Amino acid sequence: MPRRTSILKTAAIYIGILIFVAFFFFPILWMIVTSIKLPRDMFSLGVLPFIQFEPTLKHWHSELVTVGAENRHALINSTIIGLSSATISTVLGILAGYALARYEFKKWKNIDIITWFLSLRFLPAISVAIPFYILVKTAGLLDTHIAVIILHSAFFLPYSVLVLRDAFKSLPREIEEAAMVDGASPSTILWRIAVPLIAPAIVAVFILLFSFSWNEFLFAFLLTSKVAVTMPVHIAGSVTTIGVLFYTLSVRQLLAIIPPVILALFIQRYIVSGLTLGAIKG
Amino acid sequence: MGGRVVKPKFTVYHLFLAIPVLYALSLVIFPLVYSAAISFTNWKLGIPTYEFVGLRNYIDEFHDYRFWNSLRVTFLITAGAVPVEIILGLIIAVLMSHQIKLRGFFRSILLIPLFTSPVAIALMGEVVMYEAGGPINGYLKLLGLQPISWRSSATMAPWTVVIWDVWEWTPFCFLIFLAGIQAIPRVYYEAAEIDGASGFQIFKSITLPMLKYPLITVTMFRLVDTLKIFEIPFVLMAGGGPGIATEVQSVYIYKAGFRGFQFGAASAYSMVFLIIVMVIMMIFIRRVRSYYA
Amino acid sequence: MPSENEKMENNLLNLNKRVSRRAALSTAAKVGITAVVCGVVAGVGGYFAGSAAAPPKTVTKTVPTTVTATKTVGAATVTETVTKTVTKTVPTTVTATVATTPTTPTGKLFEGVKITGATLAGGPKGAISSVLYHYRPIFKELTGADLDIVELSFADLPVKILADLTTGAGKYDFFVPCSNIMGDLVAGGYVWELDKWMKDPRFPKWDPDSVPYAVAQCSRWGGHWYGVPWDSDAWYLNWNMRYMDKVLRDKDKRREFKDKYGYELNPYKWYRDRELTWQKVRDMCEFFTGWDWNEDGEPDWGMIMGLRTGEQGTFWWEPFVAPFIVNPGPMMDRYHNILYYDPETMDPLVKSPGIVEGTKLFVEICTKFTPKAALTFTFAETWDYFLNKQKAMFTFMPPDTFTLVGNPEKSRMRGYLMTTPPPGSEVYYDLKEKRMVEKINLIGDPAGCHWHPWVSKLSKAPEAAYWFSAYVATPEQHRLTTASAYAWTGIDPGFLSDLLTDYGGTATLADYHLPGGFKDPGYPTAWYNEGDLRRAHIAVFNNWFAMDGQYNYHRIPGATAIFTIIDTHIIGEAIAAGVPVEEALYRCWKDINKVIDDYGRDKMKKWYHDAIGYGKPNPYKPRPWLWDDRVVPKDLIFE
Repeated sequence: MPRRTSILKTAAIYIGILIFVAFFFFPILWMIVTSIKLPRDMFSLGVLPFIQFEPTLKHWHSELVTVGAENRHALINSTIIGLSSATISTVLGILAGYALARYEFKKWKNIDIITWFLSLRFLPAISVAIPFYILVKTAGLLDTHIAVIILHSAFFLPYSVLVLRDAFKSLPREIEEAAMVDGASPSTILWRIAVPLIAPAIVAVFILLFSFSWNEFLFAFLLTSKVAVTMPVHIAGSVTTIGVLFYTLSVRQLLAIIPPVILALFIQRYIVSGLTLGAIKG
Repeated sequence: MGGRVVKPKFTVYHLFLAIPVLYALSLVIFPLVYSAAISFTNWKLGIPTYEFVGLRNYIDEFHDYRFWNSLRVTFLITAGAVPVEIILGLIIAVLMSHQIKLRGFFRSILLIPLFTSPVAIALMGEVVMYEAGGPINGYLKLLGLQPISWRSSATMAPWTVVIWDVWEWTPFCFLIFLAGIQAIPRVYYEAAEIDGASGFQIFKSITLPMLKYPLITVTMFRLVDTLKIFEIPFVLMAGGGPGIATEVQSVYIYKAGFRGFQFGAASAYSMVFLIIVMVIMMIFIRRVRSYYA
Repeated sequence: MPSENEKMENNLLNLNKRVSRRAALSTAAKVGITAVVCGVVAGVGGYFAGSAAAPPKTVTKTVPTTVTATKTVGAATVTETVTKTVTKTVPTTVTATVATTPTTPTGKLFEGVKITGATLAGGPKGAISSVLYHYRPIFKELTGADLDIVELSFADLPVKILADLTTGAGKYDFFVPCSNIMGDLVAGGYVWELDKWMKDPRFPKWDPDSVPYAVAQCSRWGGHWYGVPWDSDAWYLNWNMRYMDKVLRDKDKRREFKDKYGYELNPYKWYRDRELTWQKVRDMCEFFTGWDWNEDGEPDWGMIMGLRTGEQGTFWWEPFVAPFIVNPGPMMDRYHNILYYDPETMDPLVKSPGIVEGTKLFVEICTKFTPKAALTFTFAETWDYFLNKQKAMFTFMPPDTFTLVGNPEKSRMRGYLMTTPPPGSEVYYDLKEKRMVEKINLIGDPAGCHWHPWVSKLSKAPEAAYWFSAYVATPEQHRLTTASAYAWTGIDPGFLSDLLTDYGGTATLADYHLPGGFKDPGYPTAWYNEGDLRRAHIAVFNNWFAMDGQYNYHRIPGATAIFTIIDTHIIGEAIAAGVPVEEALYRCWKDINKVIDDYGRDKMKKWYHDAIGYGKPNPYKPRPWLWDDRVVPKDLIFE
């Protein structure tokens, strides 16, 4: 049931959204334009192909064909690592988030446990980089997917724990308590009742974790060299001593954006479900 | 509601919590201890031997004018970026919670910065803000305005970092807030509308309170993450430039370690940084503790 | 009776559950489909990639090549001529040359061996990495060995290499880093000494005598070779002849210059007569700043450099100040041929009067006659500004400038590029007498990275790695990498054999696809213009072989850290933040001292002595200055 909003208000909303969209999309637009410019025009001002500059597809050809194998390799690695670490983190976050939302721990107060999780984010990546390198090397896991997956899932865990805790907290307790009275175990309540109810938040968290893992640079860089190279590491390779090869960079970056965007396109609508359902009620 | 007389010591909830905690703890303990240990030595990359030097790394750091500069810069950028991201994220979430055409399309575009790796963002910033002819300065010139020294001016440079951090992270705030707003049951809004409340009142008395938790969570994350900001000052500003105008703590530590090869000293610097971050976050959490129960 | 709320919530719950399960399944399906689609796209792309890796079309020619080796004995030049018959396989798009190299009679030398080489990231056509990609199939063909190429970005190359060596990981058999870390590599004992392989007839023969002294010092330590020299990096001064000549032909402009500075504007003569100095360049930069001499409607600048902090800024500063402090002399003693440290005390010379004087001039040019945007420039933007936009009269850049100038995608200056070795100084600081002396001092510069390979002691196949490295350094191959058809390998010419035969080398105009007689067939037939090429080669020769003196590349352990220190204080603070020069240099001095003490002053002293050959005679002896009348407009030399 659409809200009755005045024309003025609707217009204001659209204008506001368009401004923000323009702000966020402009650099991407520039990447797209740069990816079809000749190297000589790399620093020129034109936006419209054919009118303001001569477009070329040779960078795309180069990235998809000549070095296509490396790009494909990096994309696949990023996808594997991203999906795996996001899944692990999400599941662990559901567990911890639910426990922290529904149970008052005695030994340590909940707020302290939450703070502890948050404190995992305090560590600057730089300081743990070398110890991790040595740890992973000793375990013989250098340049493997599993090493990066485990590290990512651990380091982004705080996001899923805290956000999902908030989501669980926002659920009215009555439903769960009714189920408990009926004799359901906490585990059943969690997975059969609570989780489906906060599906939008889980989806949001999954997207987040996937994107953090997708974009993570430092650990991926240090711990991989060939087999498990991810997209950001591969992109950084377009920074050479002769300067940034912006045409290479823009194509690679666009290639890197496409899979997560497709993923997001598919699942982000499920963040909406809460709203439309309320509307159906009538 | 209960009739339980004896609360069992280890419930399922303990198990739920234990698994993630142990997982994270086991991975974090070793590097932390190792880092702390190295910080008391003068280990350098390339030299296999090292000596124990006690607190000298720490003392040297407090005498280093660059340490203090980097603290100042880090705080400046954090104070500039975090409020902006949160407020903008909130505004966009509210806007996008309305039923408008092409909402899915807009939402996808607004989420793109989340999927853009920070390295690439910094490099994009290079082209877009190229001062001798990039698009932004170029369009400014067309409009008759003065081109801005985004990256070559020591006073402007930190704000350029703020701008790109805002670009990178506002979608994150937007996403969390949107999920939060979507979870608010419709009935509250309808009831308020029937009562004749204005949009702003609805926002103030329904949306904002219901977003209490996401707001605090997002603020905490953005605070701690922005303090650690790295790629944008490092890549876009070429290692904290111009000069040391954007040399944030992470860059300062990185340079000591990976450019100066002083891993002992760099570990000491990161321990100090860790403590600083912890202190700030503790202060913040103490403030919001009551809201968070 | 459930309340309204509870009923609604139950509805919500049920609807949620239903939708959720369906949604969950559908989502899983969609995620799965996405993955499959990506995989298919990638697979198709990979298929094309595989087929694109097929060898390009080739044309085979048999060409007798005369290889001329020029040795200087005393003042006379003795030429040895050796004629070899070389079979060239010349593809229409890519230059690949297979030279006849003796292989063992039993078959391929390193059949089944696999080695890994780490190098600068850049892809198959990028600087340095292109050399590895290019020679990979040739290497396989000639020796049967496989080469895996690992690309690393510039800043991370030294880190990853040293991490690999110190932790014993041994992932790289050889690596091609910036020579900054040479000290750490050799003093740490991580790389093999090459003498034994250099004598072994199984390996390709490269000519150590053709390598200029300063370049050799980037690979030699204590008299032994540890690296195979490839790249002869140096910073050269360039100016835009199109607009310089216009001004030189304009009597009013010349009078204006003379009135302002008291002497005639005469750059070509200065170069020819070994009088080109930074002081004169400073005046010229000032003269060309602030008015529109390139007809684009906006005022232009005198100089452009890449002054971004955190890049290679130190390489601009070092050759600039060298002529202010390096005292040429026949012995490597305490006062001669020194740039960085006093050999007896290891005291950094960075705040001595000569360097202060030089740095002041450097900072002046960089702040007053260079656009502010240069503070954000790395190489790419600088070349774009100079070669494409032509908004700066001078630039001071590595030799890639003269490989870029012929590329219409990047440059509009083809045919108008002037190249000279780094200017000297009108005054310099005499270290022994401790005073400034007024005498023109020209010092050659080895600034830059000198990319070349080192063989890791952790390698399990060091001989194969050496074979590869040596092959590229043989006169024939080296000439081809410095003159390849697509012109950008990043390996800069510097070996005597690289130069044109007119100038003592073995390269012919035909190698550059040039018909001779200064006729320009244009791009893409020829990448270079003959005038630009000749001027470049003359400058290369003069820089390496004819300057008054040379200094040693900074290569003790910790050089990388010191490189960063100088960059931070001088480029970052003195230029970008306006810190006074003396203060910036003092901070450098303090920080460098700290590095030295960290490593141990006595150890550093010993390394420094080994590195420069302290106490021994100076192997460098200047040769006659090279000049070719044909390469500059004769009417613009005002006697």
